[in-house]
Amino acid sequence: MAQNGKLKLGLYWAASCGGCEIAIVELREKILDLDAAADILFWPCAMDFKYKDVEAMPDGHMDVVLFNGAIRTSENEEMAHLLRKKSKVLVAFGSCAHEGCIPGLANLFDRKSIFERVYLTSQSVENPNKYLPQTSYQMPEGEIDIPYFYNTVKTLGQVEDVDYFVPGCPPQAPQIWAVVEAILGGNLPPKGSVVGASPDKTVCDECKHNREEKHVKKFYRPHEIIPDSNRCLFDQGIICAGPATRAGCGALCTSVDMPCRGCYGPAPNVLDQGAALLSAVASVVDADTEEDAARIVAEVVDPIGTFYRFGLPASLLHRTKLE
Amino acid sequence: MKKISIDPITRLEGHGRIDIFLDEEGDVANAYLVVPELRGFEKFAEGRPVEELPRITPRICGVCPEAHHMASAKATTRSITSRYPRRAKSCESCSTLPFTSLTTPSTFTSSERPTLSWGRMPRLPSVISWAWSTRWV
Repeated sequence: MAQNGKLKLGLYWAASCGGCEIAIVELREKILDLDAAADILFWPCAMDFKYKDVEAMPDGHMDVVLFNGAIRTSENEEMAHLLRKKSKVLVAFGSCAHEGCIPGLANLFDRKSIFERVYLTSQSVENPNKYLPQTSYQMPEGEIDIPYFYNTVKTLGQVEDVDYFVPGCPPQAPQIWAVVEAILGGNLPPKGSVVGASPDKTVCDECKHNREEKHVKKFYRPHEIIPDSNRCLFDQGIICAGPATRAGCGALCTSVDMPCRGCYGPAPNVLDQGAALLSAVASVVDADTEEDAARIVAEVVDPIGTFYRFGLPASLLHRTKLE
Repeated sequence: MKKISIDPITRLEGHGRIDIFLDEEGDVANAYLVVPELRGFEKFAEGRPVEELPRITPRICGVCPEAHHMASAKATTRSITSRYPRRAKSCESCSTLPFTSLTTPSTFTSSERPTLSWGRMPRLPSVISWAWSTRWV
């Protein structure tokens, strides 16, 4: 704590979208309470601090750093190491830092194929000289460098020692406030815990839809069915990640009849969210013959992108095989 | 040649750096905007079900997710059919981003005299088409 009794807080984004910073702004009037309780020392999205300012801090200077975004480039990784050094408590904030999130779907591909698609074959790109990003450019005035783009997206926990994990894409404002209160009050659970979400429930426990015995004879894509708002979406044959996902969001998606996609990460005591969901899907298929089962399961389009929508880099699969 | 790096540029969504080169007299010889980030949505959107893209593309930018959500929802709709319900069309017309999220606070709650500027308002044709279409909702 600083001499004025305020918490020293830092926020950073690596490979992220900025939604986690907006989630903090979503605290609304409570942001004034946050300002009263904490001095913000680093927050590129909202305030003007440079990397040099962070480098100049003594080690362990910041009490808490909320780090969102996955580790996609060498710069992201350097910042993760730097902020670990300069902070007492490093929090993986949001789904990207926690488990890879949507940018983690890039682990289905490699560096080369991503570059080719983005810089050469994309319909909106004109690149007749076929330039691809290099880590160093020699310009007439001098050298300019950009970070190295890794083959694989990693989570913050895979490159640095993380104290706490706050799940969600993005974390919901009441949950963020609960985390802030826990930090201010010193009521943090043991290191390595997931905070800002339910310790023991799944999304199904928060969902208002009524669950019955599940017998699925056909899996539907959203445009093939108008869901019944009272019945469990999974019962109706719509794949929903609720059973494999940690509670904390208040079942936002299912409350408007959209199936859960699992942004709050694996359910408590579940190691691999996708495997848990796969097992849930397999257990509800109601087939008399093997052909029937094969037909029903084949109706699941894009299984890896559905079961591992938010958690591929943190999962046991981690990525597809590199050639 | 002396180089000044503004690293990172701040108070906007996205990562960036500005490298400024100074000549012997200390004047600016050249300046470069460097964008040291890429996630590759163009690639990993491949293979995903088209109806899921309105929930994937908003993660391009968490500050303006509505724009990416609407764009992919429109593209998805048009890739499936050219005829769709009027109600869906009116939802499309209610593009909330420019009006409600980004400019309304400064348009209506200025600390000085509230002003209305057409430059900040949604374009007239979209307002008319929205009003017209909602008559049938």
